[in-house]
Amino acid sequence: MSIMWLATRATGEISLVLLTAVTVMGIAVTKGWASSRWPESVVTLLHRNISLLAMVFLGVHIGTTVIDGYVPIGWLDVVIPFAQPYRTLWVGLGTVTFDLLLAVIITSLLRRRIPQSLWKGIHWASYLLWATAVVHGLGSGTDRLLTRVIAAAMVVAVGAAVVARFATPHRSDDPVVSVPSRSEVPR
Amino acid sequence: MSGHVVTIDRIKCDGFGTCAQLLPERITLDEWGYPIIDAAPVTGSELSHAKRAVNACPRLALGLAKAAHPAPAGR
Amino acid sequence: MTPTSTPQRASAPATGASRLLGPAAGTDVAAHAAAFGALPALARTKRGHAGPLVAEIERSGLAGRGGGWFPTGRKMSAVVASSRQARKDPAVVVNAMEGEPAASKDAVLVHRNPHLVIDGAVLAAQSIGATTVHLAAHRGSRALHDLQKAVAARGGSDPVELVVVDGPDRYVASEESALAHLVGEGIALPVTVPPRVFESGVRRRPTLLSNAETYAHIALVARHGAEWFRSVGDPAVPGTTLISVGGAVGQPGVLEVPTGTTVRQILGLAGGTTGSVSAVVTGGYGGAWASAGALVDLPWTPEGLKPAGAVPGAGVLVVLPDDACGLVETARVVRWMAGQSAGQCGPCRFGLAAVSSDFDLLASGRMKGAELRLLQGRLGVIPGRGACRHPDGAVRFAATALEVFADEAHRHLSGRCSAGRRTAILPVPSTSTPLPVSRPGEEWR
Repeated sequence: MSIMWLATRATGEISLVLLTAVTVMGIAVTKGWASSRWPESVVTLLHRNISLLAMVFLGVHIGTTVIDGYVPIGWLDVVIPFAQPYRTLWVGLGTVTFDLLLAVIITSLLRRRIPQSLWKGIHWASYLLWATAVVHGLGSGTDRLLTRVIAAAMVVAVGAAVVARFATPHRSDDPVVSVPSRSEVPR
Repeated sequence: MSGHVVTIDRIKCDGFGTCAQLLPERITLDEWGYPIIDAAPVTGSELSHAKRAVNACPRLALGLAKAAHPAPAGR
Repeated sequence: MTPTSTPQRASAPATGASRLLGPAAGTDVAAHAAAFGALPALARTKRGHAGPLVAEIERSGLAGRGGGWFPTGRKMSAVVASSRQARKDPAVVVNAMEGEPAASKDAVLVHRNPHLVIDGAVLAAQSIGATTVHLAAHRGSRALHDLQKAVAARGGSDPVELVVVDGPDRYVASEESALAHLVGEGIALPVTVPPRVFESGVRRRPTLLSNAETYAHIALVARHGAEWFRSVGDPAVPGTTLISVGGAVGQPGVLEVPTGTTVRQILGLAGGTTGSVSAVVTGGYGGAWASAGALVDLPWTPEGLKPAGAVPGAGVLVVLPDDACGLVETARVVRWMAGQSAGQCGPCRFGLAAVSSDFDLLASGRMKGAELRLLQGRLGVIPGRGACRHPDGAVRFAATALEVFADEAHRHLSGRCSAGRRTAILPVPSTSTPLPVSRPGEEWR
């Protein structure tokens, strides 16, 4: 088995784990989940830095796939999905993941220069690209059991974070003090 | 003096507190978690920290503006 | 002139200050022309150029009567300059929202002489190159009704378009950036400044946004000239001004007086004080308490009232009788002001709520000394940290109360109150929306 193929599988799994961490951290940032050991500034910066790290591992994952000639995936297939014959749907979802991640990261780097609504809209695609990454791994991976175990763990992690995100009130909706609504003369 | 002042959009600010953690020399938080910004210009050695604080705000509420003369901008 | 019999009474003092409220033409166009003369014919200027009226307004020394007291001519020039630089047609907005519960001068003016206000806005629009005048008042208010009737009576004869805009009955809806946002986008929430409204207001156009009374004065300057305008009142801020006088006075209502009239004279024109008084609200609920003794001989101008820490603001003067408790009154007002927060900025939304709770404690005699110090700390930390000046005003009202009623505060710390009165003096609307109200829902349209 070629070293390229081993690298592809390994970096693929690592990228998925990193993307999961980024997604969970993104939710942590917006919810203000923090502690004295993990202050908000650390959570925010980690979220951004790990996404860049994920991009690096994803780059290796993609590069080794293309360079290893075993499967007919070319450079064009890196950005154009569903255009090659090997496990077209599942591998195509990998391309979709990469395209979306590129959009998210580029808009984030240019965040001050583009309209907030554009940045926000594309950032919501993070959930989608995480999901396509999971499905891509399950469909294209050749390590059945390990892939499924990792995928299950990732789904649990993001699932729990998403539930917590929407089940708890948004941070700035919590009034610290509520103003009594009756205006009578207090005695 | 670097001649930069930290500016803030009070509506965008959601009280995350990232800024106070990265530039404690200039920014403290009130009891509700919202920043109190020292209006004086940022000194040379603090400028890199100020830039990091501005970039780290999850709501992009902070900015760094050139001060022609030391005018109160923060708070 | 004899006073009318409506609760808001307008009178013409013997000093001859009856420019705005002397005649009462109402919405009738012919009566208005008979009382004030025809609308001066002005050529509309090109965008980016100021018509001659702008210079005349600058010479007149007219200052905004909405509370800012900013020189109107300078404001008009700034709008023209922004319009030239941005290559955008400016807009004109008339602020007849009158959010201050203790103020009724704009309502009275718009009822008695709406066409004077509209004339001024039309003339201002022509001289700065604007094609539309937006007239804004609270939904369901008499002022809105009067404006709609007056605009209809004019029958489209004006050289600019007249649009009446109704806004939600919320305090900050009359704030400059919120009002411009309401007119342009339909939501009366303050926005971050800079840019100020004169640079970017209604749909990002440079906008002249002034109080209804200010436009009425513009209409008179256009007819009679700057020298005439300056012939009455204080040299620094000349002309006449409208004041809503309330509380423990013989005849509460809206008066027109020359600027610089002393508080003593104003109270005299309002029928004098009933019983002994020692504290006064000036400017409104975003204004300041002052002790009557320090205030009574000061002239009614921004500079003149400063020695007592008072402000003319939106033309409000409310006298508190000695048998009322200033701290209880302040607690009611601050609670309402906290509820009126747009909820967009933490220091206002949470800060005013905390100050309100503190004042409830203090007013009911349950506060301890350490908590009073905490309250004072909060009052020091809130101002200047919101997008608009709402928290600043509320804090000033609260802080001046602690100064003016310092002795009473001491009594309250021991659980006592020296006031005998049980009924409220300061008018506070009964509809208090509890926090949070932070998302642009229907209540902001």
